Amino acid sequence: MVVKMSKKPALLLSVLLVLGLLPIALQGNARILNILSACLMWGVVASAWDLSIGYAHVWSFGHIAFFVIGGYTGALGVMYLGIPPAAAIPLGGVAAAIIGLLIALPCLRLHGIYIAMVTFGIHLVMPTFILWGRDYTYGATGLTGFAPLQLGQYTFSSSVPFFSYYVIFGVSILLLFIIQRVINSSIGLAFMALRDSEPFAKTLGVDEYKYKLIVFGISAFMAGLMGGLYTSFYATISPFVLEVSTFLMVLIMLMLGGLGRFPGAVIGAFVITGLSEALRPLLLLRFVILGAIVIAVMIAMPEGLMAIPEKVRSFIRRTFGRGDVEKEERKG
Amino acid sequence: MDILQVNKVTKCFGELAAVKELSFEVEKGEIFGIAGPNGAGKTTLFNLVSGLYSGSGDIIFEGENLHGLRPFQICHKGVARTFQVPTLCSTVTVCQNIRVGAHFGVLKGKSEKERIDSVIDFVGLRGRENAIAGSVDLFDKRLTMLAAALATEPRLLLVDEPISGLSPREARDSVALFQKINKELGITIIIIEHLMKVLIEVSHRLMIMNSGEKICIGPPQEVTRDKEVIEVYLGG
Repeated sequence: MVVKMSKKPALLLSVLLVLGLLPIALQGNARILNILSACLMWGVVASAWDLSIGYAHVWSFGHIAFFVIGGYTGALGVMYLGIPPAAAIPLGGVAAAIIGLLIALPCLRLHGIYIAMVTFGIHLVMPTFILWGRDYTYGATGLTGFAPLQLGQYTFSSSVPFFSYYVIFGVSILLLFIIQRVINSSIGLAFMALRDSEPFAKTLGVDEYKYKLIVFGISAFMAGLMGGLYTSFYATISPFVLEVSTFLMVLIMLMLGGLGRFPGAVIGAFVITGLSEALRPLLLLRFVILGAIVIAVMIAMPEGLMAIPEKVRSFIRRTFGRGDVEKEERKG
Repeated sequence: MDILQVNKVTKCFGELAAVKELSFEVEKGEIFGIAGPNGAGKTTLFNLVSGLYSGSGDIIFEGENLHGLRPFQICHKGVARTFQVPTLCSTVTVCQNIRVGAHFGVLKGKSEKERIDSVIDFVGLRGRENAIAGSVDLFDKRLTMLAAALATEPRLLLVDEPISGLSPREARDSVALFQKINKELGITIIIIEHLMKVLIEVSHRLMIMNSGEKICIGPPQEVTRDKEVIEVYLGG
């Protein structure tokens, strides 16, 4: 019996297989494995942000702040409270989610740019908070030297890339699966209904406050969790992550992949992180080239890279479809 | 028996009173038409009843005051509406739009799938349910809005200018559909429309508004003979 798979699951399985087998094919190439790990981590961060901006149209600009909150919570928990790293990483997610929900409260009655202003305010005050707590956070220097995540005999660290890649791969796939499930659930339907037409959604029974809180909670949790994982992986966290360049980089990943077009943000993360690393020898010139590529893609395809299959299908229809109609007419 | 009582409802935007001390009742099971010149406050009234605007005065639905309730709570009480300009989720399918109403609009009852299927058949969208809502024609967009509203299993349906922009044939089909909704489903309908011919045909009673106030209410034949209505709205 021949079992036929539909195109999407087959493609997904192929991508997972390639990503899963890459470390073996690369024979443990440390640099490339660490770049791939970064791609996966930023892919999850950007996808969680997409839930908020792309799907629910809640313009939260506090996403990198949530990422940093997760990172600091995990590191401080390990250093000062003796929490095991395996528990400190999800704790970072929980802390980010709690702060995300607290920030969501004043945003409930706000829309668009006003939510962006309030949430970006959190991003802007974060370095000050870190400096105020310098006795614990070591201020601008950042935190280092906390116990790494240890799984049996293996250490989770960028200096152990083969093992660490599989940890990041597992966590990322799990979180991306959850994001995909959220998008396809009734929660995702509520997000999309509120995004496309808030009056329509509200008068059909969608409680906009509830779903705003949910989107803040989920996206902040995931950003915080990845912040914890990132901190553990690189064994450091500092206010440097809060520089505008990180914020813009993740936003560009999201825009390049396609807003509200999961898994576009993951593709955007791979393209931007990969290009950034490939162009590293060009020093500052790489930012000019990266910027030019992003501008070109945004002008040619404002819907992002995820729109390529649609564009190709539409081109084929336009080019060959007419022929089919003419054939039908001749038959008639 | 009244299903809706509007008592001294006022809505102001700054200095402008869009609805002024408006009072009227709608009987259970009737089709109640509302007409009036542009800026009369008809859509503002719908926004007040559905909770999109808050104003002063009381709006009593089935004996319960809706004042202070949010739109989703009013929907759960049994009030649904459509919009003058097609307002729906344009990036998802017609079926997904209906699912929004079926999933979020009803707290308990028939299964979601059953409700979606029955409203698709009822309004005549079968065969187009998998099209992207933003790409279908105006008539189907209006049917989608109506189907999503019906999927919430309302007892009162507010319909805002459902005929505007439709062809004569589509308009006739719409009128027949509203009569079918009223008769077969027993849903009370309040309909705002500019086309008096349609309103007279479909409504049991009519209310004419002007500058946020009621100027006449009664059976269509009486209302259309009213001197003030002729002067303000229908013209000589």
